[in-house]
Amino acid sequence: MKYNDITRRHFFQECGLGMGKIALASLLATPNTWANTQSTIVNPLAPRKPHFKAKAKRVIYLFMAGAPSQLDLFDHKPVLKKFDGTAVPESILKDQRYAFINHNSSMMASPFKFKKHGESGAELSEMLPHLSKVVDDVAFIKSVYTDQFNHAPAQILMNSGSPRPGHPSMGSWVNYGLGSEAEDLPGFVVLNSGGGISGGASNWSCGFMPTVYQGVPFRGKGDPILNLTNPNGIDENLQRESLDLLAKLNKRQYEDVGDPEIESRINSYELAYRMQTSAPEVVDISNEDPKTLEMYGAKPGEKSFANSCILARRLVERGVRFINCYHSSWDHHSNVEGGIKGKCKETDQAAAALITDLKERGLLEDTLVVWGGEFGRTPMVETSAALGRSRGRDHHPQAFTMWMAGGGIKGGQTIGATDELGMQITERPVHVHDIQATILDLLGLDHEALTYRFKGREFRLTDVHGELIDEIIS
Amino acid sequence: MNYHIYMSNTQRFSYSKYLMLAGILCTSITANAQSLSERAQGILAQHCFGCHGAEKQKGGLRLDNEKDALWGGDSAEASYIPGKSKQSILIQKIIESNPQKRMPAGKPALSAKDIKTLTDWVDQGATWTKVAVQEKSKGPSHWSFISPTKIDAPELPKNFPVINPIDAFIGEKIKAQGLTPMSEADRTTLVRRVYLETIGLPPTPKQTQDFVNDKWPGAYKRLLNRLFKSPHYGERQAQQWLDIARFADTNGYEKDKPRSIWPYRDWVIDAYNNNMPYDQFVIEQLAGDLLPTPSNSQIIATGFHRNTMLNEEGGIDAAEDWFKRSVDRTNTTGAAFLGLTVGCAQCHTHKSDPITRTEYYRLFAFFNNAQEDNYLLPDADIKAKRSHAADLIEKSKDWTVFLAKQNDKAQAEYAKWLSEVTPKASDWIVHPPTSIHSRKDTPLKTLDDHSVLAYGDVPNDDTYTLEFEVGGELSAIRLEVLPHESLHFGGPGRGNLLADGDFLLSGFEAHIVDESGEATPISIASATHDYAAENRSAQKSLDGLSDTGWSINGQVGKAHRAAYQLEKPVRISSTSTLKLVLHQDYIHQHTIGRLRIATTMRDDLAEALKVPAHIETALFNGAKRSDSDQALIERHFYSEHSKELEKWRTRREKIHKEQPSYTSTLVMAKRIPERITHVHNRGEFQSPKQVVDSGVPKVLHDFPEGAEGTRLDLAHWLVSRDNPLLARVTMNRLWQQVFGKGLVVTSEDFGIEGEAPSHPELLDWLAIEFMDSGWDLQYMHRLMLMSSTFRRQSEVTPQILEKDPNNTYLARGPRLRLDAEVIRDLALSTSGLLVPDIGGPSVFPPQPAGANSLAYGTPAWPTSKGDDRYRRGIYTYIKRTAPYPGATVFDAPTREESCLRRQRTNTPLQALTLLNDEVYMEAMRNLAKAIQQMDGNVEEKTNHLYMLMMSRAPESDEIAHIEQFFTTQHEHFSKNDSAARKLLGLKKDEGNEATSEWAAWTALCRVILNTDEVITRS
Repeated sequence: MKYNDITRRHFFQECGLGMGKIALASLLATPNTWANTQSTIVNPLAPRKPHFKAKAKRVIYLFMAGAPSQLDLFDHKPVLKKFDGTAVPESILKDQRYAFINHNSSMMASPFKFKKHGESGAELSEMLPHLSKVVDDVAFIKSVYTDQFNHAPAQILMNSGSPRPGHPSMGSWVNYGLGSEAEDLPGFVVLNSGGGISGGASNWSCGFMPTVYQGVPFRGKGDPILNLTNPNGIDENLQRESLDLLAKLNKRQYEDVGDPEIESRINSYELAYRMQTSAPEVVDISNEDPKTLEMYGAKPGEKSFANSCILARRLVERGVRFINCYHSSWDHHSNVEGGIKGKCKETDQAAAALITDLKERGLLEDTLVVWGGEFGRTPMVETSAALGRSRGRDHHPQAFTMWMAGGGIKGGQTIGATDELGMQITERPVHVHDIQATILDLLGLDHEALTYRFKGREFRLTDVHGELIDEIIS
Repeated sequence: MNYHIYMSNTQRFSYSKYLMLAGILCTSITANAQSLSERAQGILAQHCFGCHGAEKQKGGLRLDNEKDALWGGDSAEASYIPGKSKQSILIQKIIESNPQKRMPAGKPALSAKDIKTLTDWVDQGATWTKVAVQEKSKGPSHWSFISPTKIDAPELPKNFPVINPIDAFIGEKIKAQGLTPMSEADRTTLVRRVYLETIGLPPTPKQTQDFVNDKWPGAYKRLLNRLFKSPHYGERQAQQWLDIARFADTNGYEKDKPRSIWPYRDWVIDAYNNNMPYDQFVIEQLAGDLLPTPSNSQIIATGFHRNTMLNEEGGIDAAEDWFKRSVDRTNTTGAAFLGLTVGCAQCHTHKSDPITRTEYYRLFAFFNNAQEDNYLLPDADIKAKRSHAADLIEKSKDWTVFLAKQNDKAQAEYAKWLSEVTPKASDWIVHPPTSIHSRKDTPLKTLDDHSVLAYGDVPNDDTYTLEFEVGGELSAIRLEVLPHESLHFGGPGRGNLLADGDFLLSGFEAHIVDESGEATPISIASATHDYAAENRSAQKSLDGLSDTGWSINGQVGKAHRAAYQLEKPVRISSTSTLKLVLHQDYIHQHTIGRLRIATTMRDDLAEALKVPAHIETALFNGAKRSDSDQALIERHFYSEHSKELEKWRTRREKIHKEQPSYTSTLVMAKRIPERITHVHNRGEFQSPKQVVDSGVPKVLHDFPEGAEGTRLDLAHWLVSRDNPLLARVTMNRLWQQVFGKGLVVTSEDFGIEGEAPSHPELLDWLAIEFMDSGWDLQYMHRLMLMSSTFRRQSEVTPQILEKDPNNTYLARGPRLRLDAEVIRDLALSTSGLLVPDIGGPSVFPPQPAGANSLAYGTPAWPTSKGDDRYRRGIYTYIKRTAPYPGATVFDAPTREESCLRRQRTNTPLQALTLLNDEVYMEAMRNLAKAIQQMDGNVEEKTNHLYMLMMSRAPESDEIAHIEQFFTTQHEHFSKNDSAARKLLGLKKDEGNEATSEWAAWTALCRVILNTDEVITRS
């Protein structure tokens, strides 16, 4: 009964039963069914058609970790000036949970001046002089809310739709739904220009999906991707020869054994080889036009938000589907004035330059840029002798501001509003899941149909929630 | 009306071992029919029940049971006509071309496969095999809720290799599928396969040869005997369970602080090595602490449910995080022991499985009613050393007094101190409280010394109200805060977030309560303390602010005192009481763990002294002091205050610090008093509804009558012979480990939405055999490995690829990429670097620079030196927010939640890891050195390399490729000495004539390590 090896090898060689037919069949399957087939022959990152016509093809998500104060940047509350230093009536706060402050805290006005800008008349803090110049491309949402009031769960909720680690993040969902168009780069890249992030790797985790959908951190120092560089003493030529020998041995094995997984491995090594060239090339911003560098405020070799933004643009040019740019330390429990000044100096120019640059290159029309943190900050002052804090603001999940620009976004508008103190939303509440539903929609994905089966349930990025923010879509 | 139909399980016949062929056909037809109707109803459940189920009936239509489906919706037209798919509305609706009219409404069309299943189902008569959720009271009908029944293995034609019943069940389906089973793999393949499966290490060339050359019958069995006895068996077998147990070395979330729970990991390894019966394995992990006189190991086992994450971020709500941990425990229990996705019922009654939300919270109550504890592992050696150190300290106090008495300066110092402190000593009278109350319902109890101890859950903040019968005059109140072994870091505070063992007393009030219950405040003039952290004096507890107060950070673990001086003395009559209110309003669980109240009456200030209460009492006695009091005071002064003896105190501190500490591990304990569990609306912590008792889902077997509802009862219920799931779920996961995927592919879901078993009779047979064997895991593992099914060649023939691309029917042997840990172990063991020590604290092998630079606080990775650098992958430190990249890249889970089934992917990042990671380069350099130094030509050396890495000799074409590569690279390195030295990590002056050869072998070994064959169990 033993199969004749010669026959089998002959069959694979001569009859050319390659992956072609089988792979094609797999790729034609709809996104929510194919990933669960047990077949190992599928390329899980092959580009796939969206559910409907997409307005954006890729996303650059500028994640302001720590939660910036909307009251000092976007949501102007002149009334706070009047009540500055007076206690908030107990009745307003009675059911709210806060991380650090007491229910008898006083209100604190923003130390910054606000002005209207552009044709749209968007009102911005003086701390955002650069963003002020591009407001007509930007849609502000002043009525975002979340249900988490601690950093890690709130960040993970914003990224994965669940406050508990273990669920796939937005970038994973997008690559799962659309595949990757990057030939020799990962489809989901994570950049970080600040300190460590509260939610850690859960923020770009693929959760229960296969690891091909995991966000790949590109590092500012050393190898942009872990283990990208050949070991010392292995030069380009030796690397090529090594991979050639490897391919020969693997191919031989494939002919012997016929397991399609082997061919997939051969491809992985070739992709890794190409990545070794393309990744260092893409992170090297020194060949950018000096004017462009100046516009972002970027300096080659530095770890900065400006460098992240320019790199994000380079990555979208190369077909990377989803890029997370993290910039942390917006958690201004004390001295919100000094904190905002510092952070805006680091981020305002580059974020605005990104919009301008993408626009000039014709990329803004199908690249979605999202800016936001994990929650907002209180209109009440945070002062704590125990923690040595003064003139800060505590976590405020009830209302905060985010903005979006580019692919499919109707710029020059402001959506939603909060009450006179900035305490509660008065108009058009937008939950985190609504933001996620809208981002998927702009990419041509129906957030209710993009599901992944796990533990007996069809999981979604938006859990069982999510309503589109219709008015933001152009 | 009971209209559901029991299918094959009740129709099965008990066939004799030598049954007729007709019998085989009969069972397989039944199984197929069952599978179709189950699939069809699975599709309906998934796509239709949302609008046409128990909760909603759009258009009046309900499709979750036969009666309603046939009755139809508002139009009263049957939704299908059995046998006639074309005339059935259900089918017409799902194939409708107009998306506006198509069902499911507003959703993409069903897949062609699903449409075909439903059409076939209707055409074949639309049999219902299960009742919907609402019918559960009438008894279960889903296959996995019915106890397994054992039928004898079918008999197969002679040309089917049958070693044990597994092969017969498997063979039956192979035959039915028209497949041909592959023959047994050759011995070199087999030996490598079985080594990797049992101990997770490849055989050495000698071990391979021994097996290949063992020509006596029973060679394979003897091989298994050797491997099952290996201490590495437990290491490999524990891997899957540690994924399920979500074992990790850190707490997760933002702070992601380290935790000590590795003894639990070692417990799992030991359990597998000792072949602990599986029922015991379950009981000890869920409730080892509740067993009568539990052993250390039974207590350690309860670490299973301590592997949940813990959020220690600033400002967290401790009660909410506890809720989340209990949810995780409930869900993990459901998945691990029942294969059920009970977690779905956290927010609402399970959409497909018969588990209600109330039942979820009854299950939850078992874990809600537990207490987290930190267990110090008893260790005679450490105990002896610690008691020796304590003795040393105590005895040296005598010596100190003796020394001091020879020292005039010390004597003078003492006299001065005594004259100063004596008048300050007050006559404090300790009062037992007559009533105690906590705003957060913290349990408080009075100890024999009249102190009050808090236990149970630690709330974020609290207020204690205590009343005392003083019956006399007082001018001051003393608050003692005292350490206690039950408190974090010994207390006196309960803080475990940010500052361990500390508290913050933000406010202190005193009142007189008269007979009528009316309270009159007593004004307090000032407060003193013996010690306070910077800016946190006792005086701050009187400033009316809620975030300032008295705290003792920096001197945790010791008793401290604050004294509150009244504005003017007050008299409290025998009918009135003194009421004290202790505000601890600051966040972060900074509440007091143990306290004691005393009052005094004197004309001047009653200060909080820097001496313990009993010394102050001795001091107060003044002239009337007894000799023993005198000695006590002297001893206290010299050992605690004397400047002359500072050096001695430093030495004492050193002894104290250097004494070894016990290893601690996280465990579960019984909670007293019991915690009340509510049903939570929408699964939200902040929406508690009705109160529930602990209990189990009705759809499963009964909870024993008279059981109290403890975790131990739950554990006994789980391992009951009546449990239809535990044995099946466990055998399925073992099968998954051995064959790459379970007989039920969705090993985490045996519910209605899960996949149906590919071989239901085999699964039941295994489950029953497992229980009959006394839950003997090794016996079952051995059965699987002995089977001819396991031993088959793994080549993917065109016939198999076409007919069974996923190898569901196992006509060929499994071919699986190795797990992350095994890939590491293989590289280390073949290169001779592996340090095969078993157990101990987790280790930090090298990882690429910057691998955890994105985690909060950019934690350091203290790369292990020496032996710990080369330990097996199972011992690598698991940091949840920055998991070891070499592990996650090969699909190791991050252990944030229970993982019952690892993915197996194939990515370029894996290629980069194996090609470039220092762990692998170091191993390959070492391997290359050994190869280069051995005798023989390139061919002989290649032969050895292949035997090490693949357990087989290379074939001639492989040797040709390798020789060519080797020659080229040898030449290259001969010309590029510096490249060779760089590759080998040699300094300029190191190296010799063999360097280039070593470098060439290194380059070659690197290639071989990366071959598919090496990282695959074929």
